[in-house]
Amino acid sequence: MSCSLAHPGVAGCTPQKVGGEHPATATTLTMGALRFPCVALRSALGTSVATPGAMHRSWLLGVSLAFVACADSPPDEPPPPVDRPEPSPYEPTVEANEDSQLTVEQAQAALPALLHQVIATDPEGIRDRLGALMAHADATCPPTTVSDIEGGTVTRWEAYGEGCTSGDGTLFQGEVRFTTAETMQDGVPVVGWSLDSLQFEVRTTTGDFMRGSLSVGATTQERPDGLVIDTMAIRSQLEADATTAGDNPWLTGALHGQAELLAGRQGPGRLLQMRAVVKPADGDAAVTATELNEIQLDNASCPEGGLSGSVAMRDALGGWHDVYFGSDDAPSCTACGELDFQGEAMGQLCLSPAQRTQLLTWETTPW
Amino acid sequence: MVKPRYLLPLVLLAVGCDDDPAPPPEAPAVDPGLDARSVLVRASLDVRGVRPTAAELDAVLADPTQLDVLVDGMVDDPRFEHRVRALFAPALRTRRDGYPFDATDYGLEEEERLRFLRAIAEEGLNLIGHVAATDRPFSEVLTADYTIVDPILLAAWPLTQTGEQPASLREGTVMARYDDARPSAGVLSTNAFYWRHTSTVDNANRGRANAVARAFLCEDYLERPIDFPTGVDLTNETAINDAINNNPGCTACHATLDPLASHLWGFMYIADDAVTWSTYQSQNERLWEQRDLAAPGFFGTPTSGRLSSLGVDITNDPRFVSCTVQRVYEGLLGREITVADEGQLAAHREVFISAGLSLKALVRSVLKDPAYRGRTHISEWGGRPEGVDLKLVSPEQLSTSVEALTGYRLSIFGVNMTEIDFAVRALAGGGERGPTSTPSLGHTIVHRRLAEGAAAILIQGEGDASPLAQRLSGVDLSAEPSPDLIVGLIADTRSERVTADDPAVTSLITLWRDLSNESSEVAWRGVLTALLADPALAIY
Repeated sequence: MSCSLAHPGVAGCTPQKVGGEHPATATTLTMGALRFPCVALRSALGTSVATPGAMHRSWLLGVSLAFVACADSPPDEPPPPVDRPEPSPYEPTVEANEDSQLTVEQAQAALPALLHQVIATDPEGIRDRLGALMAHADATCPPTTVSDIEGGTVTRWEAYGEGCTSGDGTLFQGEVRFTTAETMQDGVPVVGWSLDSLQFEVRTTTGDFMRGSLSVGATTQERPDGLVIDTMAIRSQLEADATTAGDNPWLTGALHGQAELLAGRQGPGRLLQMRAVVKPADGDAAVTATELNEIQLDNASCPEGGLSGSVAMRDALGGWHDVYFGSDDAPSCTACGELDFQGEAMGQLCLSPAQRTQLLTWETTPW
Repeated sequence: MVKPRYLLPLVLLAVGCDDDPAPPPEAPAVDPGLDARSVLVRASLDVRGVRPTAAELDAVLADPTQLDVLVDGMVDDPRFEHRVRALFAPALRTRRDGYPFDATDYGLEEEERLRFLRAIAEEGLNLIGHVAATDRPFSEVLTADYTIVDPILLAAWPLTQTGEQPASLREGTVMARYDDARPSAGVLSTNAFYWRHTSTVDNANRGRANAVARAFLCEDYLERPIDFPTGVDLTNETAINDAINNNPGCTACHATLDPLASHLWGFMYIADDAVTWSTYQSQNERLWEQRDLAAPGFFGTPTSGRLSSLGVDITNDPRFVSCTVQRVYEGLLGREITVADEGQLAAHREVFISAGLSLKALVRSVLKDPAYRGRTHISEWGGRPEGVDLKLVSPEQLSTSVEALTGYRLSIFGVNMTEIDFAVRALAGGGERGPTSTPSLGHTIVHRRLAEGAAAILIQGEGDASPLAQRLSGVDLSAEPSPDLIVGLIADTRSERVTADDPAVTSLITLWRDLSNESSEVAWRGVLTALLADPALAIY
């Protein structure tokens, strides 16, 4: 280490104060164990400068001392040990409740009810109920456009900001699109419709209303081999008055979330596929949300109906419980699976043959 | 004459032997710090948002040992809750002017927009303020099964007022619970936190997870030095996910960030409407699994994924305690911590822990800190924290202190304008991340405007029972003020006791005389504005 103008404060070059003396007269340069009073040095140098004959010696002395003083010096003596307090450990006492809040019996009771609730979606019913409210529209409110798309049309209305009020006093706010289309899939026509909205509200003067957001639609494909495939999908966070809602769980607020269903029929054969993440509105329910993961039920793989896929149920504290039925390749003919909570088996959960039969008994679609 | 070649050794020696070295660290000159009056003013503004009363001032001037008694009691003042919210506002960052939905989206009146906005901004802070003011263990901010809100939110969000309302609640708030089956995790269960820290499905709550870690663990991933990988196709989602899981430059953060983020899917809104956004989406809690993302965990330890467990895990983390201490210390000292502060942080941590995570105890401890009281010192826990000589009042403190003195508040639709950026907060140096500590022209302008407004209402006799209104009560405002009256006004506003012949008194009387040529009302406005706009009210 060297001492220079650029490093006036580096260790070893820092003036040290001798205890009890005035800094101006008692600063010293550290040079190992030796200490030279700077005042004396400066005094000697000053004399040398004033006396040319002595200058050479003094210059050498100054340079030597400067280099010696600022040359590498051993580390400072370690500071005297300090008795610092020891930090206390932090020993929190808060514990999370990780226990299951759901029993097998509660799960067993909830599962078929939930499946029926999802199946009871009735997308056409939701479409028609909104259609009934749209009858309150007039020529200017809400502003509506109809445009052609490939194989169909899109009817769209929008009334942003404070919305608009039609002639009979009905409020329209937001944006809704209604699409009908016929497309081709594998050379076979697929006929479908969808109703999509951002946030919207329609409210009549008599208190009938629907508000929230919605995306719902359905398709039908009739194949030449007699296989008919119907699909429906819904994503909904809706509210409606009691009259408008009827008994539709998505409109009564009993169900929120999203679901996709596929129903296939060919002669007596029936197939039902379900994917959904839904939650009931009942805050006191034992099951506060449910996932249906690739649930498939058919009446061909097993005599009383085969079941595959998995279901996850959430308890009141947010603990998720899983039950795995068979796989696509090997559906469960008993339709039973072990209810699992965080790796612990809780007991068997089953769909009875009667429940399976009920889910697979329909003419056109199960919804 | 000294030849040039002699200059170098001369300079070297002169530098090496400087007679006036900086004071060595182990032997500082005696640093008296602030006097008792200044500490009283500082503590009062920091803990209550107002200047000390004349009685408090006189008590400390008469007997400086009364200082600690008075300061200790300040945390029991109802206004402490207000200041706690301000202390933690930079942590939550919810005090902002815009949110995804406003009052009209819930069928509320247009005039309620600002109130609704403020209600969202304060939700999480209300809970923190309540826990602190009622001296409950601070861990409750992340474990509470209730929230505290402006009742306007009851009409918009799935909230139900609890049956019994604590008497300790701040006026204009109610205790409520969400009735949409969301887990109980205090601030982490509030809508406001996630409305402020939004996410997209592709971001997968990572930004939110960082907001949680930053707010409660002082662990900001965005401040970590990273060697950002350059070979990743950022337009390809698969490539990004692969990098997140396998590229060392990414996993350094994502290995712990992503498992945190997987706790937060219940606040992922699949639809953009006001109802969806206000309702907990419990059915989405396990979307991380469907999207093949990291399983929930807490810094290396797998968790059940419940949001309530995350709240507990955070409060059980020693960093939660250290972070809280740091926030209070930085907030009260008005500066960021340095390495030199580590010892004192440890000292205050001891107090906080031994008091059962009482924020009141922690604040009391910091109020006694030598650095807070302006004294640079060597901590017995190590380090030599720099004393804080001067602080700049925040726009909020400026407003509350002027209001307390005069009854005047600059407001719009009933909301304090110093709390809204598009009003005067940003101009005065405020913001969602906390106020600036640097004086500015904007701060001075707002200060001046408050002083002018307050002076005007005092002259109009609208200051109600404020100290200045009382001081002026019965005074003949058409006559020249007496020196004693000015002495009293200076004590009220600047918290200083001066004598009747003090130059400041003379100057103000002279000002009154000069302005009285126009009218005595103008003269009084001038005097009161000068008193209230005095820099002594902005620097403390």
